[in-house]
Amino acid sequence: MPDLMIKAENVQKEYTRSGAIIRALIDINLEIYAGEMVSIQGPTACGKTTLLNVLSGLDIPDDGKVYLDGENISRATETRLSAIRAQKIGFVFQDFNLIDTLTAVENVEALLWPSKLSQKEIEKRALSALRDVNLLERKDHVPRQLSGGEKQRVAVARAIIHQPRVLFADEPTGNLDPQSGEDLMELLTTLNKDYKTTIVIITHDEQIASKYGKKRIHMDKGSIVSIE
Amino acid sequence: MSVRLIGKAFKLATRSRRRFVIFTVVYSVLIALTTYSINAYYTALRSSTSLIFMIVVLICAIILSIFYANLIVTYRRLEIATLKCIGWRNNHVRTLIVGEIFAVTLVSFIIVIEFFFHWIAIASYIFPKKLASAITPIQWIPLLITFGVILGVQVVAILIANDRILKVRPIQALQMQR
Repeated sequence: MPDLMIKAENVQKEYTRSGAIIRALIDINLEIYAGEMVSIQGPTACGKTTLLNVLSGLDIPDDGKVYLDGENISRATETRLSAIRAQKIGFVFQDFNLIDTLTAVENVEALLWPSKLSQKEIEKRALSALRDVNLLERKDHVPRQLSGGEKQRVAVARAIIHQPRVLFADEPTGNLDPQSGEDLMELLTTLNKDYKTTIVIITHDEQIASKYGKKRIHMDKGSIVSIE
Repeated sequence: MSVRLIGKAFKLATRSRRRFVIFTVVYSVLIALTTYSINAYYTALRSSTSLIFMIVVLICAIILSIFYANLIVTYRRLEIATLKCIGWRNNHVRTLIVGEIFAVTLVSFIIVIEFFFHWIAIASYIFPKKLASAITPIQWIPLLITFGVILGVQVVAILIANDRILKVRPIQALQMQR
């Protein structure tokens, strides 16, 4: 039996928008095991992104508990959460969020700049991560010189440079053409197989979810309606 | 404070070329004027006109420093949020931003020193020795005071501006940008 990587217990989250209370997450309970590739799908505004943010410690639940690698992160301090993100979690955002003035390799390195590793070791790891995403030949290009698919691969390289235990991806194919989206999903599948990285992907694309998600979580109106 | 982060801050500052050049030029003029005004008041004239001149220039220096500090934080808001999302701590982000401020101020300071060295050399070459020393515009102490004032004001301004971002959770900062 693989290790339990993520566990959510009775998680609740509410927002107030224009005076109205929106129940973004209602009594969420789920377990994700190490090495799983999980897709979270559902209609727009059903709470997918909120769930991802809460599971990854980017946001805190109003009630309930979230455990990541055995540690309760739902009440952790911001400093502790930063440390967890830097050590155990990788993020891939829908709109890449690369730093425009840095080259591809520098964007990948950036995660490790505050670390105690030597610059040489950081460069070595960044080049290795770029090799993993087949983008080594574009290492000195800045984001504006890269296509959408290439930018997203740089973002993936940045997310894996520290060999995270879990990689969270929020609609990673949302801004890509179908072919680039397919390539990216193949890449994530390879990372999942090769490094046993637990991957949690949000998608509203049924085809992607059914093809790549080994475990599929369906959400609607803030609740989990099924887990396949 | 990580030396590597300061180095990266210098790199980031110089990569934002247009902003870096404009502010370096403006700061150089400001440092030269502030230094000259302090120098004029304390070493030569001590008149009410030179006092007003010094106060006006100092106020301009403070206002511009605060403006630049805010500008950097505003421009870098998305980057700050992203860096926080991927695991940077608040003090790492602060180091990066303060390093960028320091880069512009230091380069401007060096330009001013370079300018005054050349000024002295030219003045010594053209004018008689007595006159040359009389028109030598600055001394070290006013220059260092100016550097300290401008850097100090900016660091305080940037820490205040920075807190607007650092206080919010990283994902909220990202959502605010979208």
